[in-house]
Amino acid sequence: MKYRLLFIILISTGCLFAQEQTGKIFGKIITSSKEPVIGATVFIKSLNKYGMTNEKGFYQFTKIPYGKYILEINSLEIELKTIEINVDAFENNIDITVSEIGNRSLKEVHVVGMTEKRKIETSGFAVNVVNTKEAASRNIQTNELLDRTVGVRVRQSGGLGSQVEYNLNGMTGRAVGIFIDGLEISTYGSSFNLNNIPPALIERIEVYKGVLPAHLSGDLLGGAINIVLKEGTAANNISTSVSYGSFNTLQTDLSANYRNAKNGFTTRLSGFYTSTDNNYEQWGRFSKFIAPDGRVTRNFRTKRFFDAYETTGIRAEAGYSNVKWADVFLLGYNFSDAYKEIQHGQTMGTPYMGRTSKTQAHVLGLNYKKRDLLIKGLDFNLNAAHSLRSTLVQDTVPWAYNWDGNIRTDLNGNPIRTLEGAQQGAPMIDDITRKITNIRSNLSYDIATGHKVSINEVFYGVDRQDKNLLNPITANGIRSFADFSKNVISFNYEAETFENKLTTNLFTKIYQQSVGSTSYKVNAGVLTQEVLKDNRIENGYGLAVSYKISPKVNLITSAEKAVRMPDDDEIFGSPERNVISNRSLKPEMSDNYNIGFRLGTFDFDKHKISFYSNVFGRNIKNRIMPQANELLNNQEIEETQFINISSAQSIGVEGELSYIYNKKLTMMFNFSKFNSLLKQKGSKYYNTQLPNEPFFTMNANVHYRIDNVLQKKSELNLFYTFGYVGSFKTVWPESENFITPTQYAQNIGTSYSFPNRKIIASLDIKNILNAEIYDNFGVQKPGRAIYLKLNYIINKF
Amino acid sequence: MKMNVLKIALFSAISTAVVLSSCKKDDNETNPSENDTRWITLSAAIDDPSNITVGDGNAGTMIYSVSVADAKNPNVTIDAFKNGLAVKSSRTARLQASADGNYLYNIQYTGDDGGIFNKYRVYGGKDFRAEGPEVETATYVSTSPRWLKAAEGVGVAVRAAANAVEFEGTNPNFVFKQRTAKTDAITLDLNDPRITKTTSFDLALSPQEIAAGYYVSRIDVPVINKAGNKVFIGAAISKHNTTSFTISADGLPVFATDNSIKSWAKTLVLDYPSLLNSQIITSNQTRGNTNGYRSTMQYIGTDGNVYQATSGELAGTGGSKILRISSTTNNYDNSYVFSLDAALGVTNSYIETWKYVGNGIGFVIYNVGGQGGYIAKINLNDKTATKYTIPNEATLDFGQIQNITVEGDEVFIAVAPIGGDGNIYIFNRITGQMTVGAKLANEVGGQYIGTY
Repeated sequence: MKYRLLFIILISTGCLFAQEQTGKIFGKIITSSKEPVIGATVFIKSLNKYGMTNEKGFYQFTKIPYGKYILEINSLEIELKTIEINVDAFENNIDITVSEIGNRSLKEVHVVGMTEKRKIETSGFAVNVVNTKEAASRNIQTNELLDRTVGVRVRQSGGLGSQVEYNLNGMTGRAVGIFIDGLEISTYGSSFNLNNIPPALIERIEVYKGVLPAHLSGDLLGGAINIVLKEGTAANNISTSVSYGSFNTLQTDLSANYRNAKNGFTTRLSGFYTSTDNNYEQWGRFSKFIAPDGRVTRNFRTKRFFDAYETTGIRAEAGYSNVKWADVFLLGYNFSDAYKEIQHGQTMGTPYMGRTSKTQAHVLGLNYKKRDLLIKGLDFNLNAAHSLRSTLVQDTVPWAYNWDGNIRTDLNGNPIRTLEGAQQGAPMIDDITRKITNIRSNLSYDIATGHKVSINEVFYGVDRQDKNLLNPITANGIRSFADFSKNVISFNYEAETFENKLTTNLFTKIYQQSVGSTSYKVNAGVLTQEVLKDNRIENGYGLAVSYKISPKVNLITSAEKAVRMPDDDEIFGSPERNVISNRSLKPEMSDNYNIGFRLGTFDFDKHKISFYSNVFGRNIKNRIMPQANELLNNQEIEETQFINISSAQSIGVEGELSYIYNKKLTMMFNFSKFNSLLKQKGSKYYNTQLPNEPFFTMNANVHYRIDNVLQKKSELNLFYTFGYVGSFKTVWPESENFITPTQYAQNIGTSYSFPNRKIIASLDIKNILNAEIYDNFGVQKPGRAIYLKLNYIINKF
Repeated sequence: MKMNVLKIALFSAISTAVVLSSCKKDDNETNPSENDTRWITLSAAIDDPSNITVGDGNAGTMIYSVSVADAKNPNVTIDAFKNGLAVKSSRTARLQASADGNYLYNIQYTGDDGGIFNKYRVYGGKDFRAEGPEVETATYVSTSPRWLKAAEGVGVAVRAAANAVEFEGTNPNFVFKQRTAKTDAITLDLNDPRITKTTSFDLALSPQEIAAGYYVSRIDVPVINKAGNKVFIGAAISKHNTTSFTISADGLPVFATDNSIKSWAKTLVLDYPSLLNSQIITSNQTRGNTNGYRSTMQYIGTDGNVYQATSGELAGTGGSKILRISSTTNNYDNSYVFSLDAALGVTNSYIETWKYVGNGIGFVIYNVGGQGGYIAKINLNDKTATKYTIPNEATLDFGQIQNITVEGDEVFIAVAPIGGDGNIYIFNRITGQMTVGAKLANEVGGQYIGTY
């Protein structure tokens, strides 16, 4: 609750930002013979803003902060012209005269501007870009948005704030990398993740399947999800939103931008606060009521009683942009804090009371970008973060609970103690502190037009300390410890040839990892220290190719031999995630192939259609997988250990069809189907589907816009989404007791944009049929839920 | 455009219809004819293919039942893997059965429903029908309880988990103090499934044993004595090296295990049905464990005494024994010991399981020095043993075996190599004659682990 107050302060200080003036630039581009230039691009370099002249040669920019700018005018008909302009009034009429190029007879030329989304999606990699714009104003979590993306399956064990696993075309766990602005999300800690970063703070999400570009070259096999947070932009604005709904869920966020056009000083402040009780109703098979004599009532309808979640995040950035010595120089500070009540272990079989985790992270970051560093064509980009993360897991309640929320009683009516003394095991108050350093640097050089070489280096180091606060006497003594660091260096050669139709990206990567452990042993009173070092080097390589058959037909293909080193949590364990250590884990290897195409967007009158499809194959050796509920010691706690399974293969296809009618109706349908097969020779299950992986998913959504409802210039949006997950078995043998049934989830929503465009209100109803839905079998997800959200945006100040 | 709208509309309509119409399947209640057949149920363990251990049996259990005539018929082939029913259990089910073979009892082992008791009526083939309520035992005895039918109609489930080592001193000068075991036991009514009694206590050995680093690490194989007033529970005793430890990441000592010596065989005794007055009895006839592994190790003899097999003796200390717990004192009768090594003339025998079939006669399944899988008929009265010769016995592995059933004078044992086909072997308890019965079809990594 103390963060609520902090947040209010934050909001009020946000309003104190200097009110910067902006103006409008407009004018006419004409040739020396006074002919209007049609379809010329007008570019404000320092703002990275493009405009285009109309059939009368007119162009226009609005909301340009006062200041000096360089305008670049270009077209096939004219010679490139640059002029310096000064924006110092609300309206600035700037007509420009340009010179024609010789006496060339011109054919009709279409200048097709690419959005960032399309540019990335046709880069040769199997990638989908998720825009957050629509979701930002609605009651949609970032995870829900991702879950609707083709080939992505988000599996969340419970409600908001509960643990999430991402499955990209059958690859899962740490084989899939999650990045924030190109840095591993673990740098930011579990208090700043896709569970709590609101879509409003996100510019876009890039989902790479299989082959990864150099700027995300981690040791990953299954692909990566890169969250690109909104950057400080020239447009000064403040936006804020508040959402409230079912299960006492409150979500607010705020962001504010300021840039001084004169000296380039840029600052951005954003934050969020979320809290929820998650006390939703459950009635699934594993919701059990147990009588004192042990008799079980299944499908017991009850509310979750210890599942609240509260999180706060603040991000502040300040620096300079578009100045002489840097394109971007930003120092950032990120604070996040999360509190989670843990209602149960890996499945909802046994409810917990009083087990909580508190996580906190302080992250200091630096981002520096400079084009043409020292010499022309040499670009440098550095992204570094140092974080201090802490996790406090507490579990000391000794009573066994029933799903009705009460302490269980035995045959004599006495309360029952749990077997181990606490909810999940022995009583614990564990404090784990990690110091993480993550540095990603990229140096690239244009050797000739269309040919670029680059070197990319990633360093990730962890220093971890565990404290058992129930045994404070040990706090100052000798203790064993582990350290972990990894480096990935990649070399890239990118070329655009055949009139920019063919884009190729050839790369090789070197993975280096050091794992060290220092342990102390006492034998008959003699203390000895044992230091173990494990240093591994692997390498991989790959190629991504994109061929533009026509501007609307792109062939995309990529192949990579990828390596994933076991992670620190997988080797050393992580109590808050119920994971125990396995120090003999081997790196996982995978050969990844993708071949696909993008068609469109085709315009037929008012209809727009685009289509995307991709076929993929993955051959995996020493697959690292969590082994659930294994009997690993005498304690027999519900814990997981990561193990290598010998061999697996995944082959599949995904596709997406989008249709837009008259800019009013948007429909999207996507599907993903793959076979993730065991390839262990001699096994009965050779060539059968790996258990516990959803392998067939479909999503559809419909969006309809109605203008001028109730008020002129207002906008009403109606949404419907449908999600389907095919049933899948959860154990190897065929058994009807261990099958996750087919899932159907349907959501509806509406948003209303007021005429002034400053306020958007939205209402969402999720799981409208109140269906029994699961991501992980054994953990039921929320039923019908209603949320209302208000967004407020101030653009000009 | 119209087509698209239509498609989406159709699609939504269909999906809505599917959602609305997905009601529960009706149980096919074809009333079976009067169930007077004596069914022999076979259980088979599935290999977990996701690891490199072949034949770990960790991927679940299949069951299939046949008539006695079919079980004895070598022309019949039984394939429990293909035709059987997967018992509810994430890992190897811990199955028990009523003496007449009409009911199977299972407690699921680990997983979402670990510790859940289920009762099935046997109707032949893969037709097993759940009867009565499910009973949760996990809160009392964990999701992986050790349990047996301890008397007809009575189940006893137990669990002992060693508590954290108690120590004194400060880092790094820690001094070992003691280790106790939190012990839990419950009784189950198998006829009207429910828990009838529970108990929980800390189990400690004698002060001398504690000081030496001994502690109870596991208990299993409960049996109720003939008088019906005591329950005997087998135990495994482990030992720490009290002067050797590593210091963990949170600065606590982790004491080393000492495998150089075994404790004398011990048994936990509780009053029945109160489950009170816990007491440990100690044999001076062998240093080994009495908790077995998943299968029955102790029986009430025709003479009323309890006969208990041991295992896990250190190499060179005489191999497995069968000990006697007196029906009059409810304590070890240290004047009696049956040595399988001595009776067979082998060294380092290890009893995987056995079956007492009356009048001092038993059938023992054992390995020698960890190798092979052999069957012998033993006579506890004159301390003799006769080994049978079965195919592939030098490579057979009965490590997972759970049960041997007796019908009339015939003893049924499922024999199949891991991943290989085998047969049911039938032994006459009077004459000792061995005959080969139905063929058992296997699968990669599979094992037949019991007859019921």
